Amino acid sequence: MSNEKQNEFFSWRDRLNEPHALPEQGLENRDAAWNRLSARLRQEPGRRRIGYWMAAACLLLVFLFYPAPKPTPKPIPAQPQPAAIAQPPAEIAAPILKSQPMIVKRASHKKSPLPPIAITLPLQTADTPASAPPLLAQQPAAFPPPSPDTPHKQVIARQLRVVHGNDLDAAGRPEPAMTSIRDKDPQIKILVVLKNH
Amino acid sequence: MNISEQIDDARTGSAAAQKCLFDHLADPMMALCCRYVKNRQDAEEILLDGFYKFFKCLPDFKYQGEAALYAWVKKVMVNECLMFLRRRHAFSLLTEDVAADLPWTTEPLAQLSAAEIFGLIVRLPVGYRTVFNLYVIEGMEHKEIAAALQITEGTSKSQLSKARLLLQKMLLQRGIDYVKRKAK
Repeated sequence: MSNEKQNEFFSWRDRLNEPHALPEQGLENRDAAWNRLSARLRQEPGRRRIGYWMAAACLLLVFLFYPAPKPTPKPIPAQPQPAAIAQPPAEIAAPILKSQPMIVKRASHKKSPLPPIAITLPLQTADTPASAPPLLAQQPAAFPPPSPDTPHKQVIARQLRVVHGNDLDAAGRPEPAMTSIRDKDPQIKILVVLKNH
Repeated sequence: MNISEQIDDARTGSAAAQKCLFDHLADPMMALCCRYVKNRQDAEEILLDGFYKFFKCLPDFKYQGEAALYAWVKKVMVNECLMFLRRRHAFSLLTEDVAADLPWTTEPLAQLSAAEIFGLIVRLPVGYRTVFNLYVIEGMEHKEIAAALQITEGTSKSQLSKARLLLQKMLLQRGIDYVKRKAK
């Protein structure tokens, strides 16, 4: 900005800043404004202090008569029971199921039942190949072993024949000799013993 | 009684001295408040708040001349105006466009009277008006304006640029109207 322009700038700015440059913009009622200001200036500061003291006294009374509640003791959490899942399932499930026999019997039509024949079949356990789904690998070992007298075996015994495992072929089917015998005498009872080879 | 004696008496709590000072400074400070706040009732409230603070802080003020006293009172009033505008959220200075460096000519304003300049400034929107007042009239830098209004420097420059544009348009329109009136 050149000197001339700077002078022009300051001139109109100073004109605006002159104390009495704009009389029409002054206070309309100066006395009323002064009365309001004077009342604010003359306000007793002690009144405010009394108010603060009263508030402090009220707070003190509240704390005296209504003390803070004591914190309730936290209940001791129950000790967690040892998880049965943590044990490797292969070590627990396998020995129980390996030697579990299952007797399958079929009810005969004749009144005099024939003696049962034991059959041993391989059972899938945790040692089977990875392709087979581990049905029992992740189950807890808390299941009790089925006793020989469980109801399901008795039900199955009524429905199926009892065939000895030595009389079955490689595919698990009864040999022709047995078939003929079975055909002749359908009342043969089949005893199936599940054993892991 | 001169100003120095009035100030000394006002420090002790003399109501008469305080009223003399008030009568001496009330009108220019009211005009200043009206430059920032359009509403006269609001401007009067700001004026009274400003004078209350002035008289309360007077014991700590060192008198160094009437100009220094005037500058200090003006600063108090400007701060009160800005606090009032911030409380009311009267302006939202959001734009941060690059401020065009317009050629700022003061010739048109130099030919106007104080009242006419005041009338033009008051017609500006509140955001433009505030930044224009602070930068052009009060002589603050953009950095100070940004700190006072809690905006960025870019926004301050942008608002000033737009205020100048608008003032030029108003002056141009005023010139056209003047020519038309002269022609009649």
